[in-house]
Amino acid sequence: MNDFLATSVFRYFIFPLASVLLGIGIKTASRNDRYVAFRKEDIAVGLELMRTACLLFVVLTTDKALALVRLSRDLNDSLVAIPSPDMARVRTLQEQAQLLSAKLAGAGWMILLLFLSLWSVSTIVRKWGWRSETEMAPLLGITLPLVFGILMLVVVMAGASQ
Amino acid sequence: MRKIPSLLITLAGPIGTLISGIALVITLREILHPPDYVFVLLVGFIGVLAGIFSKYIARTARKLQAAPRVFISYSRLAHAVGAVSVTQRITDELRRHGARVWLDSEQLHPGDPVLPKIREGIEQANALVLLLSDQPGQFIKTELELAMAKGIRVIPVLLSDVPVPSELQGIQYIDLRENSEKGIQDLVQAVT
Repeated sequence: MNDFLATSVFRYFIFPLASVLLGIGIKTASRNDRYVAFRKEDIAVGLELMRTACLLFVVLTTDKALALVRLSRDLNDSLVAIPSPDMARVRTLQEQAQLLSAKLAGAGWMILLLFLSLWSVSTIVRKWGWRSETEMAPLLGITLPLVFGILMLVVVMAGASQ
Repeated sequence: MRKIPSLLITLAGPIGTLISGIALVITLREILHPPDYVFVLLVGFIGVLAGIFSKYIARTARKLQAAPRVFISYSRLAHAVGAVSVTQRITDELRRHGARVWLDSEQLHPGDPVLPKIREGIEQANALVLLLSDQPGQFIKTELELAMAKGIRVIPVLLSDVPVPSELQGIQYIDLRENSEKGIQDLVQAVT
């Protein structure tokens, strides 16, 4: 099972697809009973996916930052060990710290990119995504946010698994 | 000159989307290995199809769901003098979109207890469509009270220049006086 969860099929196909279907399902299930029918607007879960991707990335980045803090502390402890530092361990810790630092270096830009996507797509939905007060336009109201939501989830998933 | 800032604000969304879209694709190309592209393209393609064909997906899903049940409330007097065709058109259109319509002329048979049958029809309904063509009579008032007491959605439909009952003042109505085609489509959309 764990092996399957780590496969590309799960990460880049099943996970985003399941997120979309779950979003649609929750939207439909939580609909007011007086409005029973399924509407095409229920498929418009793209912005929710984008928001989830943004917040997920912030949480993952925080985790990485905390891991880096722990690594630095361990590295410091190893360096001041008495009688002499364990150089092999120091080297390993240093490599891990460098790897995490490299990942964190681009995180700020990535957060900016994800939130820019969320804001700009929301703006497009607000301005051109509605046909009437209650009906969404299929292309700019539903498809565009959905594709962006899927892309952003994949980017965050790929970043997390690196 | 004043138009430039508003134009920039209007274009900010598309420009931002374009920039972020390109940046996301570049990032994906850096992060993913070639075989993984296939999965991303596939799921993205499914997303595009789901969005473009959302109308047909929703229509199919509606057919699979339990059909909405609609109670039609109207004045028999107005029905007798000409509103019959509108009532029939509304009924036909709602049925064509999969709704189950309760119409007294079809449901009430000679000897039937009127009020219990009406109560039963309203209790089973998801929505009550109230056709307003003249001053509401006692039966319409009773049907309206029953629907409101049960928390059933009431959709007023104006067929002629008649004041909307005070109980429905805060509820958005559908106007069939000028463009009945559009009004009926709005009603179908609201109900189904």
